[in-house]
Amino acid sequence: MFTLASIRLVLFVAATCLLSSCTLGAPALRLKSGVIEDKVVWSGEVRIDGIVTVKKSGHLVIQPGTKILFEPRDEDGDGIGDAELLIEGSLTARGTKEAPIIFTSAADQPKPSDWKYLYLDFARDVELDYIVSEYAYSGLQVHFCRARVTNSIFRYKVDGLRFSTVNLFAVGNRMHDNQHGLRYEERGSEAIIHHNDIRDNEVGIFVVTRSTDRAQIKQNNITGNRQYNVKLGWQQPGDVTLPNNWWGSLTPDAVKETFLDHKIDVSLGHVSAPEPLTGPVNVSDWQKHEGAAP
Amino acid sequence: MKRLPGLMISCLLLISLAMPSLLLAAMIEGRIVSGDEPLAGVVVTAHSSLDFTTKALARSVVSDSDGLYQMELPPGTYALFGWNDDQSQFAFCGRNPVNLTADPVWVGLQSVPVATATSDTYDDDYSAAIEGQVLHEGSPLAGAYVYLYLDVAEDLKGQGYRLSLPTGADGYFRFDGLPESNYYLVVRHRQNGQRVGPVQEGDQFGIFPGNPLTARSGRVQQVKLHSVTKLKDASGSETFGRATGPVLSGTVVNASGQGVAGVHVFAYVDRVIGHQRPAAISTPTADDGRFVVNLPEPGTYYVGAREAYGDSPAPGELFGMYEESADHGLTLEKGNNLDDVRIVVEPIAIF
Repeated sequence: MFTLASIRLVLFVAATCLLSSCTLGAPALRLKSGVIEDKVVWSGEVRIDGIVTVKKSGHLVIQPGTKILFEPRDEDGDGIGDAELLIEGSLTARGTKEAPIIFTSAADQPKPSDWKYLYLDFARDVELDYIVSEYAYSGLQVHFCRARVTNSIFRYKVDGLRFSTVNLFAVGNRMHDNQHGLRYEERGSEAIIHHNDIRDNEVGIFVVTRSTDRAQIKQNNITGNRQYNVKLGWQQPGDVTLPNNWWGSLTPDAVKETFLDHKIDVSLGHVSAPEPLTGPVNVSDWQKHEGAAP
Repeated sequence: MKRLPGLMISCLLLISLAMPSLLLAAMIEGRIVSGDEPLAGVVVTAHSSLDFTTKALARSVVSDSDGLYQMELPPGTYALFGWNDDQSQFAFCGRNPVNLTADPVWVGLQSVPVATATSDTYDDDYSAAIEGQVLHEGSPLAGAYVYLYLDVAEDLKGQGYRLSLPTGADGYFRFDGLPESNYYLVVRHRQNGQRVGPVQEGDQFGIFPGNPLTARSGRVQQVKLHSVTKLKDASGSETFGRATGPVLSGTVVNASGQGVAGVHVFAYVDRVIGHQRPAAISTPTADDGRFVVNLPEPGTYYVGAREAYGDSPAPGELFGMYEESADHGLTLEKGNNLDDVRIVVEPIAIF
């Protein structure tokens, strides 16, 4: 347990150093653990070696081109790096196509689970655009909040993008080379997920449990996932419908073969893929899609 | 005159030798009831765990015509049970295990009739089954859950090894495909219909007098489980394991600072809450938002409050965390209670 009083001081010093680094070109901001309770702006290089929390009153703004490096320390020995960025307040991370915001491992030879996650928990207001998140346990976890995630890349992780109990708009993203590209427990969520590239993961979409087929997952490319394109968890007896997606094949039976559902385990629901697309969508063109913006 | 000092010294010595046990003993008094009626002729026994087949650490005198009993015990934690002379009535305390200090304490017990288990052939030679009927005041109890525990390590709390479906109108329940083992049976029926959470005043619960029940492969054990109605709980919280640690109390308020009734305050030992059961949870807050959580032991706990009990919080549910530390944790040393904790709750808003 760390107290707010001690951490505020650390953050004050850190924020001061950051401002200096922005204006004077000083070395990277280094944070052990800390709390952000006011508005803080990050740019340049930020190194995190612990848990940084943005509290309800806090607002973290990350400038385009910022690189956030998480030290791969695993003191509790659970095989997952301890460093994380926890958002309970607001986060604005708007990169650009030319200057994305990068969340990555600080290891010389990075690997999945070097750091824990970027975690949105009861967050106030979140917007992520053009970020790259890699080598974490979870690239982004979103729980109990609203979030908008666009034009971003989630790769080299256990879970690329993971959510439960959210109002999520996730569009124009690429989730590749993870254990699970997209993993969710619906639990009453409103999720609009289109024009994403969910490819080359072990499992493309993992529907863990408590899904009542409310999530709107359509107009995506869900292809080339090594074990399954879609897998239902063992406590998901309800059906899951994924219309208008490109599955990498024009043969319905071949598409069904990429689902782990009722046909393999009768206790699970059915995965259906009505009206499949006949070719891939252009992920970058999502804004041309009718009704794309929430 | 010269002999008096010696006599006085001898008396004082005898008194002082007797003092330690007198000082350390706690007096337990209480009444044993069957329904609303006092039950005479019951001997109450104190055990170190909820396994009442273990050797009794102390025994009361037989309860009198008013159902009253007394016994003395050193301060500690004890499970109290009672039997009448012909073993036809089994009594238990709804607060088991009970924490005793050196102060006198009132501990009531409620009794249920004892019915011996029977058994029949089961159609699977390689597993066992348990079936039966839940009864309350002699009538079938619908909507009750029967819990199977493999041991008493957690004082027969939590979801246990297996949990039945809710009983139907006939009070029937059944477990199939059980490994051959000893099982401790508990029944709970909550007025709020939930299958987990504290048993509150007005809920029904019961402990099988034949615990542990031995289930054998190829046989189905048939039992009757009698429940009693939970009376007012003095402890004010449910603690998984022994509530021998500090006491956490305070107020749950809304964003305007007004007390919020009907929410539970929980304490987890793991910072990432929700991945396991809390270590302790309060009963619903009072009208003024006050709560009490009895912690199992000194240590660091991650504390918050929510409206429902069990499963993941739902949209619209009142929820809030202790905000005086960055990670929502607080540390309590031995004997260091904390009585001014304030938690703000608000609806989970995702829309």
